[in-house]
Amino acid sequence: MRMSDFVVRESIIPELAATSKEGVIREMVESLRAAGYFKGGELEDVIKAILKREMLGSTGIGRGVAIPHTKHSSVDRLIGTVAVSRTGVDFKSVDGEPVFVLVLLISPQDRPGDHLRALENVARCMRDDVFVRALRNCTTRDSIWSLLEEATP
Amino acid sequence: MVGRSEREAPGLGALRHRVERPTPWQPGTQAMNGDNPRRTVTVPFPEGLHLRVAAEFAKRAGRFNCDVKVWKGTEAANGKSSLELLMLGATQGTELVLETSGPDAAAALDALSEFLSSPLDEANDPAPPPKG
Repeated sequence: MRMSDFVVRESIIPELAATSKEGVIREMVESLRAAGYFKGGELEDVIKAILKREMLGSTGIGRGVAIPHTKHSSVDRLIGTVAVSRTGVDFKSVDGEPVFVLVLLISPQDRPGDHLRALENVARCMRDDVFVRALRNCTTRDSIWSLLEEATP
Repeated sequence: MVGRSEREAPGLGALRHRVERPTPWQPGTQAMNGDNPRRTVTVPFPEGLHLRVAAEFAKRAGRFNCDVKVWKGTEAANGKSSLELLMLGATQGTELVLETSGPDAAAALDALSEFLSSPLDEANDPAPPPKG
């Protein structure tokens, strides 16, 4: 599994407008909606579920990276999006550092295996400093997409 | 415009080098490293070693001075790094070997293997879920 297998290309955000934790999560989920993935009512429910998960412990895993996620019945396959923040977001990460790269995942209720493989894949990519640096330097959706396609864990 | 995209994302070439795999641990080589305590645990969580478990494990491991390694077959993760633990992709039922080395190795092995063996999840939640 590659990141380009589950990231929705049209939903990638090369420059987040929001700067707060809740704001960037909302912006990313809205971007997935704009790409045709949710109906209006589901949008709020998905955002709420992701924020609820964050309350159990931040998904800011350090290295300037966060992986906010949830399970939700509105999707029938694992989907995700990638966003880059220029200013950094206070995500209450484990290392206390701001987050610049976000990968948001939404999985169906009954597919824990897919979710775990996606996490494994994201972790392998983010472990690579060169990859994270390149991602942060991208200024367009296309350049982020090429990077995701290049990254073969 | 592939060429343009590549110029915008420096370092693409360097991505060819993947995350390096640690030298596999072989039963025969353990004498080289002394007698590090080890224990095998089976991942009990239905969703595998997911992010919250990995983060909590890394946090607990970080409280000890000793080195903590978690092996899945021949692949090892630094037990103090949630990112490396996630890279193991350990599903429910996977056998993992915990290895600790250092001054408080025995205590760490006890605490961490117990954490990884208990079918948590809610009992270890740092905060209750919000209402509604």
